[in-house]
Amino acid sequence: MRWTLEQLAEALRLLGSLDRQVLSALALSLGVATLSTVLAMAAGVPIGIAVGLARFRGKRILTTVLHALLALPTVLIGLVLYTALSSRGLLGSWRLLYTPAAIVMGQCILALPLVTALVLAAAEGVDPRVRLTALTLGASRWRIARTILAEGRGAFLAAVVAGFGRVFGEVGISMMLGGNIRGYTRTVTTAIALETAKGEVPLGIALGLVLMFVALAVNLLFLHLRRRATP
Amino acid sequence: MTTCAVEVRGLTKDYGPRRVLDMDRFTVEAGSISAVVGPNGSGKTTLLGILATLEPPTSGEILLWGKPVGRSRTADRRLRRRVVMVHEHPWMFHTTVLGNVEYGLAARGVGRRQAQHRAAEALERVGLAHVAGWFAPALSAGEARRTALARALAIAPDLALLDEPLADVDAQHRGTVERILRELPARGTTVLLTTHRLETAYRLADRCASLIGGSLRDSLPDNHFSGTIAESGGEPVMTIAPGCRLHLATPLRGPAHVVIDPRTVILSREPAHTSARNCFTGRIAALAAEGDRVRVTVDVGVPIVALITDRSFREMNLQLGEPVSAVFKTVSLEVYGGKPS
Repeated sequence: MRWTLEQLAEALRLLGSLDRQVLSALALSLGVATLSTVLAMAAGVPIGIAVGLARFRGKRILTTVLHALLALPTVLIGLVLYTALSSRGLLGSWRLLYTPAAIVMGQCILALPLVTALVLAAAEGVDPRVRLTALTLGASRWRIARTILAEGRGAFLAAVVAGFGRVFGEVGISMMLGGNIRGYTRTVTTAIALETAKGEVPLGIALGLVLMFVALAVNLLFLHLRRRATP
Repeated sequence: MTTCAVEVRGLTKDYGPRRVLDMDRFTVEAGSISAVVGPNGSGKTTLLGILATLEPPTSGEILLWGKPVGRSRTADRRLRRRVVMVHEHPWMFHTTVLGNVEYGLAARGVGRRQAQHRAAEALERVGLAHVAGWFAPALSAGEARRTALARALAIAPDLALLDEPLADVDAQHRGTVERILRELPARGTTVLLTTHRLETAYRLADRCASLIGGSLRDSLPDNHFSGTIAESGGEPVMTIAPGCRLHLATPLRGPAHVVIDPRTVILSREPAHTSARNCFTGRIAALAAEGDRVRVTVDVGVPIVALITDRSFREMNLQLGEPVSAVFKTVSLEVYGGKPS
């Protein structure tokens, strides 16, 4: 117990003197998580809305598969992409392994099922009259989708938050595809893993606290947006 | 020759095993106001939804201005742009009242300023100019309905399908809405509205049809009675006129509609002693030949219509003003509405 408290005290002391390396790891974490969430939304929103509103045979199976994909382990995504991106792999010529782009690719795959499932549920949850009203007033398919997004914006924002939260805190993909290269692909989570393994527990805790605070701040921001969106 | 804005042939609609619509032929003349009258659950909303091309029929053909619906996506889109439906409980988009009314105009590519101008005009017509800046979902049911009407009329549709346009509208604004509806044909809009109130249909429409249990009758139904099902001596009854009580066989109670098929009404010269629970004596108020049938209207306090064959009519030698008894079984009564007791 005493040891734990000592480590925590040391961690809080370190927080006050965060160096450039920590800040660069934080910037990368935020950057890749944001980019992969945006990309996952770009694909997940249209798919989720289209599937959510459509009625077709096999929809339930598709939804079940999507939900099963929510449990996809980050390590597995990392492994599969690693084999594809390594120099002898299928996409080896892209030379993306151990770059931030590789992390974004992996995180995007990680967030996509979650974002799609949540958008799908949100689209199904939007009152059916929204689509019918838009349709009878002459809206194009594009405008109908926009209207549905606008009417269910609270639920769609929740999908963004969940997607961001999922990728921001993951370590498996960043480690395997980024390689934890200092100043280049080191994210906050891989830094924590490294420092803790090195025995630098207070620094690990300090980084963990940073991660938590940032996640909290992002969530508060979205909560605020959501409250404004649903008066 | 008058043109039909709407023509329906052999239309059916099934929801699972349940057939909710089954109509042979139905037309709406261009430039008219037509009403479909029927109790709740009779398929009125489904009919409007199909005519608005919001949902496909199970089978049958729909022609809008002579053009078939469902042949091609582009043609349907073009037709859909000429039609608008206002739902019984309209959805208000989460924006201002004015923003709602602008929606259809924006969808048609009308410029922002002109859209605002026309939307404000439409709101003025329904008497809601003062709430243009309000958050639309916060409106009362009646206000929302008038906003929905403004939203639909702002796009100057060729056909307006209005589901119960007067329900929830308070007495003060009923006149405004009725006046707007009456003006629509002159503005080039054909109107098809539904209502469960006969008087609304009579007051507004050039032509009324009734929809009962998903089937259409080209006129208002004979023997359509509205009242409250109450219990008397352990038996459900509905008073349809002073001293005139219908005996029913139904677990339903409360406000309801009852329809008696005129073909099941038996006429008798003497007060009949039969197993039939309903026997009313009155005088013959009207006689009309209908093919090989004769429509006999008996005034028992309310008119009860019996459809009998030409042959039995001649055999009974019925004359206008003569007393006669109308007899029918409780099981031949169709009950709509009401709640299980």
